[in-house]
Amino acid sequence: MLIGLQILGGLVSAAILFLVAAGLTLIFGVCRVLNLAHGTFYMLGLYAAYSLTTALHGLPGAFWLALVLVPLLWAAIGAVLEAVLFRRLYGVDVLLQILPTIALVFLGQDLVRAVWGLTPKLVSTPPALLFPLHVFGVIAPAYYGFVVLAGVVVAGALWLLIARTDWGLLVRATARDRVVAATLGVDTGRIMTSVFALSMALVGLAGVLFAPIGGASPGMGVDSTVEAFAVVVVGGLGSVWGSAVAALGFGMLKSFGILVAPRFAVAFVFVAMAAVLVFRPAGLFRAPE
Amino acid sequence: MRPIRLLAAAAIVLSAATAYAQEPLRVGVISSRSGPFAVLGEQGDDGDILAAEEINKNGGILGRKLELVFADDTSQASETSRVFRELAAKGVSVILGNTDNGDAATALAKELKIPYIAAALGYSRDLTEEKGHRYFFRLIANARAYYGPFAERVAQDKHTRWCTIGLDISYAHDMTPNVLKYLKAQNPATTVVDGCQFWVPVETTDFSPYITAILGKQPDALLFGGVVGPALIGFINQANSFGLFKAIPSVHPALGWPGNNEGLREEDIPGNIVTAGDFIYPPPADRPSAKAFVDTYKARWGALPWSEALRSYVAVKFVKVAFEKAGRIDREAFVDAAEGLTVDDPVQGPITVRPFDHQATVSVWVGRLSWDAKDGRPGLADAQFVPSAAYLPTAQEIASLRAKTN
Repeated sequence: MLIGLQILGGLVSAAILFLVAAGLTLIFGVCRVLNLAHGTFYMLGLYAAYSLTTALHGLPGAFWLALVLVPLLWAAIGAVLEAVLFRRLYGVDVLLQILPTIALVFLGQDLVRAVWGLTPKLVSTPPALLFPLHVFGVIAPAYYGFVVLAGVVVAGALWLLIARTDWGLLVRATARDRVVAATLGVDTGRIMTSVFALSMALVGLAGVLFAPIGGASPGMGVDSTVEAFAVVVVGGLGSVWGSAVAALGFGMLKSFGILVAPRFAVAFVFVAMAAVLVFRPAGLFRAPE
Repeated sequence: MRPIRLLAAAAIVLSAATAYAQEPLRVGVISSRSGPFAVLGEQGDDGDILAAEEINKNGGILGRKLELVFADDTSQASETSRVFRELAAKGVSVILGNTDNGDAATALAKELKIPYIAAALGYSRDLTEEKGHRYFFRLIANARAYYGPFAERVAQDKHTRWCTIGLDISYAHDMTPNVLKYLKAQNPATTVVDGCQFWVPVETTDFSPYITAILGKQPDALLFGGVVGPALIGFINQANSFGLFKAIPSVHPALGWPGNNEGLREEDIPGNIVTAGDFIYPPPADRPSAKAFVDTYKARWGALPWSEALRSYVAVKFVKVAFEKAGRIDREAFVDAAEGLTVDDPVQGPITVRPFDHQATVSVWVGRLSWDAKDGRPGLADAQFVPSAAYLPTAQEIASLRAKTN
């Protein structure tokens, strides 16, 4: 019973971590910008899910609408942000790249404070998933199963998109060498805009998915950036598959670490990160492919 | 004749225009208006402002206008010290604390000989005990006065095998063993299940691995009082989705504090959580002043008050009665007047600042977390008021505690 619950808990953490980390690593891999504000958009996704579901209170489909609408909206915001702000940061000094993203972190925090205030907000679990699920020999909330399933489906779709489509080919080419790709006729500007939009859609999705579990509270942005950053470093900067494996490892490490030494469960994750940095500085999966 | 009449007329006009001829009475307020305690600091400030407005409308304090001088310590102890010195330099007569950094403040109060009142926050037990001194006052509940009544209520259910979960912060590390100690005193068979004491990093938002671990250990009961702040609402939500409260009776000593349960919806409240609070919803029906305070506050700020707002409001009123008893604006005279002084708390009734440790006799209600449909917010059901007197340390205990450290 214990093991089954622990596995499910770990898988849920892993699914959310993966969705956040995948966007972070994609933006880094293709655009070569470390977007510290990535977690801020995760937090804003949580609040967007809260506002949408409360505005449509009573409508059973409110959550599902948020699940579709928020990622689309985030993709649009991502495309605009890339065109207006991030495009100017490519190739400049790392410090100059990071400062505007830190500014976004503060802007996001003040926005949350101004619009939603400081008290945490709760989001209802969609009624269709309010039943107990029998899995791994235990009874667990069906919604957790749904989050894990969503994580797996998105990971699969992402793999198809990057490995099996023309767009994916162009993305990989741009990631490997932007200049060569551009001379071969790839519109790298558009590729980077679309990668940004995709990454933002993923982080928006992560926010909506986690909202019924953790609610929304200020401060969730910075924390999720830190965790996703550890996942990205372990998985290899720029490697989506590395992030998937690292997120799974982190989720399980946290979940089972709690049974072994509850006080150090989170430290395990960062000890693992330090070990990877020492023995495989490029991450578990060498990036970019 | 004419110049004299003119002068007289001018004097009348002047005295009417400036109701307060003298310098205003300045009271400093150190408040956590940003950082993790911001939401509580703001509540405290709103309570202070409401009280000051009422006082100034009714002639001020000893004929002088009350002026609050605010300073934000950003929830950091180092900033508390810095702004404390700043306020001292501005010549404030008393400093009120809407901050949890009581340690930093009490040290400076002693050094600079400025009375400091823990008004909205500052629950560390030792502040009025080992570390207590002439210039520190606490007008909020004493930890002992809610651990004790709470543990007695919990012990009625005769649980023996416990799990605990709390954030990895000093409050939780102080509260958890203390509540267990009180429980053990009530029921000697009380034990903690092996490996079932969890200290969670402050920034945790995903509690599912902890919840599943607790479910797996199958204890009789769970003490989750160490989970406070924004994490608390998330924890309850996730615990509900795993059916934790249905499987394991759970208790929390401070979920009755309105600031702690704000954000919970009717469907989130399992109905069997035993808790305590120093300001309950619905407000006690037998005390009309409680409803009046809630209504006045709501009219002024457009929201329902929490404990922090009430406590700060009472603290400002306390400053008024203390200076009026002293008869002059002087820090030493304030301390002398404040010792043993009673002030009216609109919700709790009269509370007295004990002369030997400067702890006010603020009490708590114990009950079950429930939904207060009338006010549309979480509240306390089966609430029972437990006077603090029996739980606060005696003058002798205080003397021996202080003798040990000095």
